[in-house]
Amino acid sequence: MTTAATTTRPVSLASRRQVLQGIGAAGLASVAGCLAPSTTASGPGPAASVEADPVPALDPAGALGADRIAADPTAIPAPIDRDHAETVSVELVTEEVVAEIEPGVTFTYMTFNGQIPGPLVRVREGDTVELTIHNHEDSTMAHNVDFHATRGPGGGGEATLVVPGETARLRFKATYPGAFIYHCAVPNVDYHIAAGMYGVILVEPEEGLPEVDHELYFGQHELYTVGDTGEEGHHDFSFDRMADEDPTYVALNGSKAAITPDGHGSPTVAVGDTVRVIFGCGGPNLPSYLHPIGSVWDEAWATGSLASDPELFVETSTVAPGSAFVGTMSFPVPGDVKLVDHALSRVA
Amino acid sequence: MIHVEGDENPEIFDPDPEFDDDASESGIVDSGFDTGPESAAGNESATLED
Repeated sequence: MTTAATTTRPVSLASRRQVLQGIGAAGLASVAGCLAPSTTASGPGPAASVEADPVPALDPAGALGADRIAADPTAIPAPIDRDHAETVSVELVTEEVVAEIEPGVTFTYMTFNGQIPGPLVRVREGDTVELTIHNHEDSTMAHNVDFHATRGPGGGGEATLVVPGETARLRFKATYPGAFIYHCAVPNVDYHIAAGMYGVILVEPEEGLPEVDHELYFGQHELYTVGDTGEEGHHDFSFDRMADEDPTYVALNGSKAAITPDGHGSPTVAVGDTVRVIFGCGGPNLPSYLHPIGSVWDEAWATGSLASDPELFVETSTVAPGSAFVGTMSFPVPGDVKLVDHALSRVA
Repeated sequence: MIHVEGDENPEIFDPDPEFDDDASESGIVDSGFDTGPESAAGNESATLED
């Protein structure tokens, strides 16, 4: 997590030609007129320059479009309690939101439903998913969604490409169980994921999941920005740093220390409780070496493959970018259990 | 972070233990190296005298 000594930091709004080249022929008709980035990029944040001059200081922090970007780890659908397939409706809204990575440090996130990770989608094996995706009118870019839980062109990416203000629909059947990532998959897909556009779809096996006392939902991804870690101001996106895989932040649920007492608070459980954690690694580039400090995973499905037997008593699971993890924990003693990426130098 | 509330369970985890000097076996093998405060003090003293 080093930072560049000198930064070229104007925001360049790409020409229409660049946009169309970036989107590719398949999406030309749909995205004409949308804005896309070149080297650095900003959405609805502070005013942008079109001149490429070295600028050592950041713009002031942007006006916040949301008080928090971090998904509430407890705000997820309840376990499925039925023995038959149904049709499940899922509504996603793609929104570009200025929010704080940490106090005084703003970034123009791209999100599903204004949260990172995007909402946990929960269905049962055999269910039919009827997806509606709407790109918010204030968006500056085209978006879509690629579900790893389905077989079909682009995981639905082609069918769900939407320009600002547009709505698209997709129906697919969840034919295999597991936890799977979904993410925006327009060209510059790594940029859109690094800006926050990923989430998890949990396809429960037909027989359901073992009962637990609590379920929690987390996600990790990297933020590549202009400016130093912790430097106050508005951080534009840095394509150079992303190419170098040199993130400014590696964040759990989108922002620094989000699910801690210093952030938005921590979930509380009781001694003797059991917890199932559903975790998505959005990447776009770095795996998560997911470790619960002060515990182990009693069961770990490191790749989210719920059709497979879990590993037992696992200290650290490698969760690849573009992959999801499911693990359970028990708590015989009180205290705090901290979920970390055990590549500890990444902690920002 | 997950905060766990409830009664302590020293059989599982005891942050303030009293050791039993009569423990039946050691979980490690004595390396035979000179370690600890007494050894360190001796080395320091020798260096100063030299």
